[in-house]
Amino acid sequence: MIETLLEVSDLTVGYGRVTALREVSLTVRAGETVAILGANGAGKTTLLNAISGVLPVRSGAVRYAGRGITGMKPWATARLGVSHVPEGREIFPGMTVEANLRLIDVHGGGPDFSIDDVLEMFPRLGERFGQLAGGLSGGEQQMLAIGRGLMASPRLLLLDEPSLGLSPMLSRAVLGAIAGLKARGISALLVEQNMRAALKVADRGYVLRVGRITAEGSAAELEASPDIRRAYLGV
Amino acid sequence: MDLLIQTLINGLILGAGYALVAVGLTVIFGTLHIVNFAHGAFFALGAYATLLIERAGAPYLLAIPLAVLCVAAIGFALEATIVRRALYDQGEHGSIIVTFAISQAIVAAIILVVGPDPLPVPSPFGQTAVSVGGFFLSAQRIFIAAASVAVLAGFALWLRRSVKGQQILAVSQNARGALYSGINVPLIRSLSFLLGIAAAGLAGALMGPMISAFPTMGDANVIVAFTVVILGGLGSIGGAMLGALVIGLGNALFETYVSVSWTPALGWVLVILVLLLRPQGLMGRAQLDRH
Amino acid sequence: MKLRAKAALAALAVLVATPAAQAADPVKIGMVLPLTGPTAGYGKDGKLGADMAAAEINAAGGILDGREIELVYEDEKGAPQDGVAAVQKLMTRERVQAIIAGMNSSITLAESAITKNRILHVNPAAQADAITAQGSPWLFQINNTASTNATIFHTYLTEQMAPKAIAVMGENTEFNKAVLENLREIVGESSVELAEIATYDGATTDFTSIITRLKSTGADMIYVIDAYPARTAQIWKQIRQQGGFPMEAHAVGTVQRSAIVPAEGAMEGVITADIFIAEGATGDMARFIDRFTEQNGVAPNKVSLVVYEAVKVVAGAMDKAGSADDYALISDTLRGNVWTTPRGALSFDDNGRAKAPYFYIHKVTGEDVGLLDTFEVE
Repeated sequence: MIETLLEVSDLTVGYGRVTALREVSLTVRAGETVAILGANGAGKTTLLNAISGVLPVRSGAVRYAGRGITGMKPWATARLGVSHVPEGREIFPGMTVEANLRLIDVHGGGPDFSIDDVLEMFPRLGERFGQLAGGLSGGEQQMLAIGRGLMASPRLLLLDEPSLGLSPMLSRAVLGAIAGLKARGISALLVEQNMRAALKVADRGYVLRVGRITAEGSAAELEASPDIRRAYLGV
Repeated sequence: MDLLIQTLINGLILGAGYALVAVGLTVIFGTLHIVNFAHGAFFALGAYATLLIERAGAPYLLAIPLAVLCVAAIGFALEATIVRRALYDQGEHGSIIVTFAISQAIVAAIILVVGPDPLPVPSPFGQTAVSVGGFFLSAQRIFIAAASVAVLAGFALWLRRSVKGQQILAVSQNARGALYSGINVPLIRSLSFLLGIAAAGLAGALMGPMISAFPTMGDANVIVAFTVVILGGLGSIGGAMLGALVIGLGNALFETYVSVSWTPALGWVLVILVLLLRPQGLMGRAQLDRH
Repeated sequence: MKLRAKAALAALAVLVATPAAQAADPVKIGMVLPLTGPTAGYGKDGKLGADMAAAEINAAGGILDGREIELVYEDEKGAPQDGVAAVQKLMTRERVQAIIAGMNSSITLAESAITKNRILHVNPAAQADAITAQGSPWLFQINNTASTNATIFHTYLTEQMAPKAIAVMGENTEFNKAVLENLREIVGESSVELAEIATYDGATTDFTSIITRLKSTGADMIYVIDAYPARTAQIWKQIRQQGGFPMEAHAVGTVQRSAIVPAEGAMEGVITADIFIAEGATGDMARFIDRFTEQNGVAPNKVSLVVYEAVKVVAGAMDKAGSADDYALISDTLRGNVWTTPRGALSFDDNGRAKAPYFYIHKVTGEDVGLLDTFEVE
């Protein structure tokens, strides 16, 4: 039996009077890569933020590795092995690439990741090692953000739009790297607008539409589903 | 020529003192986005704590670290009870009111407990002046400059080398990003607040023997520190050090060679020029990633 | 048993006292002092003097057939805007019958704009001539004007001490302006040279460069014009650290223990002057000093004295005029009579200015000033 690593049940999240997520439930099993698909504003980023603890939860529960982590702060979930690579990268622009990686001092209990491992995965970062992160290109910043997320040695990586704004070539490189993480036993919850790319690396997926899960299935099933098209076009 | 050398020495020593006050202010602003109007009150607390510890029998050099600990303890109490609840993530507007209120409360407490009259803060360096080749150097001022430079260098090294130091910089550059990096942002903010307050207390303990302890002693120094911080770039620690040097030397040269009465305006003129030509300050970064 | 008797007595006292209190409401006098801020020490000293005066008046049966004096304090915090707010609050909310306000000249000028033609205003300590030069009919000043004080002191400096050149430093204030104007005048008539005048702003944190500059002029006398105790101490410490000057003087009426003590000996030997000195006091003044010291545990200074006199003079004039709110009558009474104070007979001229009977040249000695010379003021 494959262990369930993350279990989200009936999660409702809102900002003020606006409800961004309504009774969302999903699971991620150990070693699995799961995609969350949906149009802009469907609530994908909110979902990841609620899991990692950046956003408070209104109701519902998040269980991770057998324990409840609902409402836990992000620095606490990071210590348990949940690492969040946010939308917009959120790197430290005035610090060098090296410093961005070195300042991570949590160990999430997943496979060890050293700076060398990160540089091996993203050789471009090695070339820019001593430069200020603010001067990197968008793709390089994305690599840095993923590298930083890995420095926390996570068991579960939350990835928010890693290919956003990247050239097709860089986008492939980044998604290829994500596929490689699976081999090291790291689970991933991947939020993507680029449906095709996401389903290429994911095992399973969920379709999120205006705050609700409207479909779920294996990557192949979803690719064939008409529902997914509706979700993206917002019809 | 002699006058120029004496003036440059004056300016360098002055700048070292300013740097200590300004760095505390900028660390707090950088990580907490709080404009700490209570900085001067903590400066005064540093001087009074030194004075009271000396009266209890400790020598000045031992009283300084003890006083800094006292100020940090008071800072911690205020941080945990008021600042943390009222201010974090509330932006600069609320912080002005709350820190101003804290400042008034501290000043009132000093008047109540110790009284309003200025009091001497004894120092073994006293009024001693060292005369080197015809140049007068006050021993206390040399001590202030040496201690400031040592503490600031140590602090800069710690920020650069230690993980906690790097996390302080990270929080000041991008607090959201720090949250996503597993950094305990509130803890780092509390730590930054304490460090900033401790720097203010240390500055008060060092400068007390020179300017005497009185309840509003911090006001004028903090006004200068504000110009230093804006000049160097809000939140930039290197900028604060550079700004302090510029203002210290600038003031000394201007006072000696141009006009005494216009000197306080010099700092603000420099600030306006810098803001016009380089709005992020001398060492500040242009805002890249703010949402 | 004993307790019950005491309680009964107290109840009886209340019964007896109540009708009398209703018949005579207290006369409220608004006291505006710097109770906080950089000159809070002056506020503390002044309050001791005022409280003592009110207690003495009330113990002697009050004024206007048994009405007590009630002092209502407001804090001017050492800032003009706070002084104005304090005066307004006292006039409109507390409905006081007179205002006693005046330590710092710039603040007093701002306050006097509010009180002009509206209420009796007595300025105990501020010296700038501009205050009483505005022709305010109900404004009076206990202290000498800056020019009266300065004329005597500057004449003493130029003639008795006779330096070759004077270097001056002082804060940019109304008081400083008045003193400097007089200095230029007096020095202009002598052979003494004014080497340099450095006027600094209140926000100045360090004086080393100013002193360096002044020393470089080769002047043989330094003259400091500053009324803030802490800054005075700091300036003299820094002057001492740079080797000092052959002759050293500080402006009239601004040197108290509150500056001398924190200067830690750096002011030793500095020449200054005032309308008051405790040393060698006789007669009424000696009795005042003894009473004050006994009640407060500290000796009075000039500030305590002038505020004490201000309260006494206001109460005396109201009593003599037979009114607490006919300000024209009270003002005429003030001008038309001679008032006995610890310093001696005090009278007010048309501008409302009193002239001190005596003027003392001081020399800082130990933790206080010592008497160097006495002048009788014509």
